[in-house]
Amino acid sequence: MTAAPQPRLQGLRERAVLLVILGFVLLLPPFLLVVDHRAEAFGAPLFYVYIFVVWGGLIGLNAVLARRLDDATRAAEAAEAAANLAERAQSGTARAGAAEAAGPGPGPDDDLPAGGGGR
Amino acid sequence: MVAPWLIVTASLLYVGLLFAIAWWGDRRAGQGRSVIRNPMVYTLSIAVYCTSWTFYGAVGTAARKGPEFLTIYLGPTLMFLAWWFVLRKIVRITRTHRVTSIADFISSRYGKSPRLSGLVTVIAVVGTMPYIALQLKAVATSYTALVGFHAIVGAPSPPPAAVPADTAFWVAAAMAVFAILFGTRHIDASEHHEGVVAAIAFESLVKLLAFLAVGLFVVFIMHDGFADLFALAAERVPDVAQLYALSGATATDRWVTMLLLAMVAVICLPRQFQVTAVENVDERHVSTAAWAFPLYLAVISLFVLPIAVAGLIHLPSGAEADSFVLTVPLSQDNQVLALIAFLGGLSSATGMVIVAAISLSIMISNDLVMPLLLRLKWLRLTSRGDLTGLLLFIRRAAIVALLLMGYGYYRATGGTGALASIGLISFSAMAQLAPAMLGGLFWKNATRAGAHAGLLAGFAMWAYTLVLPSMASADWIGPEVVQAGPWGLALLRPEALFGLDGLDPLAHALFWSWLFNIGAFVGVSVFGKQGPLERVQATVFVDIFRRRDTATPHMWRRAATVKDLYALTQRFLGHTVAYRLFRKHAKRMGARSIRSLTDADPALVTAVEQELAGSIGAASARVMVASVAKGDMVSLNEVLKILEETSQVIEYSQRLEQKSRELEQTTAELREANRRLQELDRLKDEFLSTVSHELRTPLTSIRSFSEILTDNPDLTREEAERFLGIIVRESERLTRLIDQLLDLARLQAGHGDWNMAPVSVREALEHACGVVNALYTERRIGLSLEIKGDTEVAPVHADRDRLTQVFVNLLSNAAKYAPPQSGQVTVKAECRRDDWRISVADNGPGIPADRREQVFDRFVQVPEAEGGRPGGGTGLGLAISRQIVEHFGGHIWVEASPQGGALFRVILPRSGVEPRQPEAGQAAQ
Repeated sequence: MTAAPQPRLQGLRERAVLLVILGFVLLLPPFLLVVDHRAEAFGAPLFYVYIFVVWGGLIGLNAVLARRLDDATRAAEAAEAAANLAERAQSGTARAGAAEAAGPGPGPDDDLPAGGGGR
Repeated sequence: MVAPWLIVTASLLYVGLLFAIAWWGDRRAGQGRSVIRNPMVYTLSIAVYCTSWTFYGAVGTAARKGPEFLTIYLGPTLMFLAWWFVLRKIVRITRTHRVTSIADFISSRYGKSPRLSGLVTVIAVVGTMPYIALQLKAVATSYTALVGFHAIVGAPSPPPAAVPADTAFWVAAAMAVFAILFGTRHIDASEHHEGVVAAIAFESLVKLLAFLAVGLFVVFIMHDGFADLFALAAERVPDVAQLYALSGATATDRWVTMLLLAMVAVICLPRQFQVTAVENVDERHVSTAAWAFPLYLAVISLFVLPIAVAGLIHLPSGAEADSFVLTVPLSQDNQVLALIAFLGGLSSATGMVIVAAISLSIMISNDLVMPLLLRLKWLRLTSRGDLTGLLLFIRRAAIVALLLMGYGYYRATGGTGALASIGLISFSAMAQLAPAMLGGLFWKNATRAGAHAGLLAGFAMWAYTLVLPSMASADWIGPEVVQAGPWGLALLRPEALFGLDGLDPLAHALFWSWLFNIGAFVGVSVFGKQGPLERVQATVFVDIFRRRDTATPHMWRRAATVKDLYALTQRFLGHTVAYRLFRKHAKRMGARSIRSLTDADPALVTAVEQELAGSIGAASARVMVASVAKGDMVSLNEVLKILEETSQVIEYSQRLEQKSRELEQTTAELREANRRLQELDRLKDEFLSTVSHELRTPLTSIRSFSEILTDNPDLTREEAERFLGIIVRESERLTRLIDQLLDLARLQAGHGDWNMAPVSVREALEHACGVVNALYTERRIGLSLEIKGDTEVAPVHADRDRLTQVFVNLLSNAAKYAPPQSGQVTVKAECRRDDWRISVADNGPGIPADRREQVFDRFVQVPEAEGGRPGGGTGLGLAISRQIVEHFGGHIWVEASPQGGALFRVILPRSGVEPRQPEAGQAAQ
């Protein structure tokens, strides 16, 4: 099992934390009070314009981040599955393991050591 | 005004469509072509969060209080931003442990405690009741608004009609039928209700489109876009601008409070837990919902304010703001749009009621009724036959009871209170589950007692600070309790507890209830101790992403017969499921049939418990399995204790072992160093004595001849010249000896100047032959040179001069021992795959086998018997040669020659082949 998390995943995780913090800062007082005026912007109340712009921005960022986190997780899982498989191949139960891991694993299994089960 | 028959027909058609979709979804699931295996369907099903509170109530709130309605949708957005840390974990745990509800989730986390799951169920039921009533009220009100539009403008909503004519009653009845038909089909509650989910997703789509239709109509058909609408509002509605920002002293309190409430509600509401976690079919859908669900919320919120403002413009003041979605189109006489809006509201209400009823019915049956029934010994349930029927009956009865209770609540409260305030009471109740749930998700040391205390304290505070005042406002109790406090104690006023005045009542309630809840949860946990099963479950939950192999470690042994287990499984899951489960196990064990299994191994017991947990909840499943598998708790306790002690002992002994290993190693190293020191000391002594001896011999002769010359001045000239000649020769010998000694010392110390390069063996040999040629001619010794192999392409990696020195040494050495006249020296060189093999053979007296290694030592000359040292060698040549050859990575040794003399062999690795012993100094021994 790979004990250390993938560096890419770690970086994305930090960005995810940052995004949550950003959401809290932008949507809660005291920062919120900056736009808490009965003013207008683009023909609509400023407060509402601000909320919907921030909202849309957070959703967009989360969508990008979610996709990347998804990819990174899948890559990490595939790597781990490969490592597990290699380990099992060494202990001689490769055949059962290969059948098991090939089934549900949607990730790229290409980087498995070829012919590792033969020995 | 819309004709009642049209509304009823449309509603019936709509509900019929829902039934059809649910039926279709179930059928597709049965065929294995799931319709809900799609991230967008999953997202839409989560949007069951938007109930009629959203559909009607948000507009009402926007028209009365301004932007605070946004918090109900921003809160979940924040929670979904943190999906990676919270939602994903909840979904993974739920799927791995076959959790059936939020009560099951919390009780599983705290050691599968039946009391805890019962408590959570009670809180959930009590907290959801107002919420269901809210939906019924919304449908009834919207029907009334649609039928009697002109009648209700300017008048508050009328009291509910008598039961047979009351729309709410029939809606409740239809929802009960739907929930029973599609929600209690399977006994396995952790299996997915595909039909229901498909119908819910469809409803979410309908309500979104209906709301957008009204919004677009208001903004772009009634007015020329947003700017026009807001400009008109500024003109026609006095004080409309106060809706555009947080206004009032406690507006920011409410903003923060409601944001937090909505944030935790989106995971703690039983129906949200149901659709998000239990009904999740693929974990990867969560990452799509992470942005798609907030997007849904943002889109549905977009037109809330415009509709509210339009309602204020076009309807007389005092009109019910919660009905604006319907009454604004009606005010423009757009009956079709009003009907569409009504259906949207209906779908938002029914979606919530159905899912809430199903999830609560599962909780009631698994976490409340079954544990109670199982505890009643006189019912002897544990030894009865098939219990699946009983389980399904409990669930169906629970659904009917829930809807009746919701309806009763609606009738009892007389439809008072705005939709949003009812909803917020519900949210605050569910928020009491958040500390136990989120705390248990990340904090391993949270204990069952802590969760229990927190839930009780929080729930009590909720009831006191929020429910009591709402009962007073519904005239169930006197208003003096709220105004002056119970028994006139001002300190205990429910809305200003302990004198905390000036906060908004909702913020006040959330503050006190969470303070007590979290305080008790953390305090009791910190000062308490976890039981063994609690500890296991805490690790399993908190570290869900670290464990890969097994869901639950079956580390303790439970003795049960397969027969008992089979009977138990059959009773709860029915014959088919039980047979399939045991057959699978028998196959895995290699047994021919179930009958041939006698004793159940731990894996089977755990499998049965998990399967049961999927239908009756973890707590009940544990009780049931324990009833047939004896000696569970005791042994678990003991096993854990033993484990703890054993692991300590193992750790100690491992540390001890490591220490002693280190010590041993150090001792061995010391011993070795000591041995080498002694050896070196011995060698040094030996060397010094040999050197002084070797130096003394020439020195002695030089001194004695010099003395003769000095003491006898009358020596003949010839004699004097002879003596002087001896002195010169001995001096030369001394010089050579010292030169070679220095050379050898340099080589051994590794300080020699090595000019390593590819060297041709042939050239070196021919050069050496040239050097010794004069000597051989003088002594009349034959010399033959024989070289095999391609020497040009196969050089050795060496220093050319040193290599020549080796060959010269060997050749002159051979010349010394070969008999003069008949002497014959043969040099052979052969190039092989990895190395060169060179041999120098003479036909001299040879070297006895036991002395062959010694010839490479310093000052050793063999044979030395007769004739002393022929040619005046120093006894250092072979020692130097060995140093050099070994520096090149080769070997030199001596054996008997076929001609009777000595045969010196040299092996040199070819250039490019890694030398085996690159260090020169080691050859000293």
